[in-house]
Amino acid sequence: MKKNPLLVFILSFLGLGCDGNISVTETIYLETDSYISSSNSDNHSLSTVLKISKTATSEERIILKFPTGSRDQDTNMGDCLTTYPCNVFFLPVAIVTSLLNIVGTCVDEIKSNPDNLDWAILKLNTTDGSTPNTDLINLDSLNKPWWHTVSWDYAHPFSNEGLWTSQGGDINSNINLLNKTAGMETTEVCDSDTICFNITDYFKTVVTQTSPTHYGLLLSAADTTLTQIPIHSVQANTSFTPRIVAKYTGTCFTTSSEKGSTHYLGNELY
Amino acid sequence: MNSTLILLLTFIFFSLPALSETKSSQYTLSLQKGFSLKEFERPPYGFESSHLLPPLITLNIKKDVPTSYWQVQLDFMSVGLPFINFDYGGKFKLSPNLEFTAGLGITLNNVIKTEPYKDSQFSYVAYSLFANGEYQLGPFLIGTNFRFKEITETTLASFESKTTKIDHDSDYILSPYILVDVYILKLKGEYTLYQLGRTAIASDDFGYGYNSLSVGIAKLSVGIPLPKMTLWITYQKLDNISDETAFMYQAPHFSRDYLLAKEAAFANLTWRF
Repeated sequence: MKKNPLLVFILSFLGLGCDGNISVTETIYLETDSYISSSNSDNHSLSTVLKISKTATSEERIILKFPTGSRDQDTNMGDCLTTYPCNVFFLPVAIVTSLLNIVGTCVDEIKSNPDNLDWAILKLNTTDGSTPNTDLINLDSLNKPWWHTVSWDYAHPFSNEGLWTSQGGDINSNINLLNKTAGMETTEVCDSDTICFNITDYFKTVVTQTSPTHYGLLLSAADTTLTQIPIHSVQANTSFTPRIVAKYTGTCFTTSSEKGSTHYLGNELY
Repeated sequence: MNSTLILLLTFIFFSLPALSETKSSQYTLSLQKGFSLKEFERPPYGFESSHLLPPLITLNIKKDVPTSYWQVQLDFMSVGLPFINFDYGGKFKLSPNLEFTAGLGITLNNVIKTEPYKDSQFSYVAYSLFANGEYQLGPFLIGTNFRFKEITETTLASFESKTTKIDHDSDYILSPYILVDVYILKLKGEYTLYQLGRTAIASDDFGYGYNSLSVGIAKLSVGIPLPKMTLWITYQKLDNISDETAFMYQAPHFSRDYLLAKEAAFANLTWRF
């Protein structure tokens, strides 16, 4: 049957034709981090190096949080003044939204299908060029909001609720962050001085929730001893900043020029 | 020095000559020293217990005329700089035994630029509306103060390019009191009930909120007459606070109200002239 040019145009306009996959790889740089020490309660949020270690007498743990995208101080203040208890520490859906907005017509499809997230990796760079095995490190989700002055004893200094129930950070054991390396592409394997954690399943869960709470991540030694691993912090202000690299592929209706394109977005989202 | 302080001082400067022309005016000058009897167990972040004691010295000057009054109060802290309070109100004699006062007040707690007060929950400007009613019933003077207080948003700290601020909803303060002469002494009992508004601490990626809180302070004062002066000895006790750390952020009324000592005593020398 001969195609009617007008019908093809209308179907294309309505998104009923010219479908294809779009792959988008995004790098999300973290903005807030610190490390806590069982032997030192100093504020380490401004340190350029994060430390993780464990000996018989002391321990250091790294604490991170995802950026909150377009949420700002005024919004959070307003929420906390009007709602009690306030719970503004959401995982940044805004980041996902920003990504999807770039794809444009893929918004609805990708939002409704978490399977469009191919993989998400938390990447950390060591300052000494070492490449520790990730099996040496536990990656857990925190269950309490924390502030820059976070220490071994306190998540934040603003109330008794700021005390960790368990010294060194309270963990939400209901959230399993790691799914090892399943789903990772070989082209995205870690460089020699990089530690990578595959958090794909966690990210997929987040995408399906309307207001997922995310208080941050805790990295601690998996065994009884761990030689200190120095890691570039947010303050290092280089491409080695702790970051999440995520790739999405969605089947969508869009112009052919966008099919199969890969966008490296860096931290230009804000 | 901020613009609010300049405005306040300008207002005082122009008010003084006009008020002093009234023959029936009366000044009250008082000097007060505060003592902490029981301190909070854990000071807030960046502070030491010594920073949270009642002001070492408070200087208050008040001028009454039949239809109005003003007062300025300077609270000198351990770091030496004063917090400044100013009230201006109108007075209405509704009957020989009943007097009503209402006016505006401003508290400048942002005058201090010294650490750790600078960029803390104690560095704020508060605006208030107040009213007072007093009724003379035989030997008893029965009265109550009411104050509506609005505290400005204040920067707490800035780390990792993220500024954290604290903000408060309005506070309501009600203080009924009774004053009686017993022989040569004056006795005064007062209970101040604070309804502290919701408070929030927030930055771009942090938020923490406090629900509104009611807390009271009981005061008992004895006035001892001296030549041309009265010496007031006051004991005050704050209600039990379940979360003292939170209270330090929700009730930073460091000057004027002296909330930040669980138990305190004051010696106040008042001279009327």
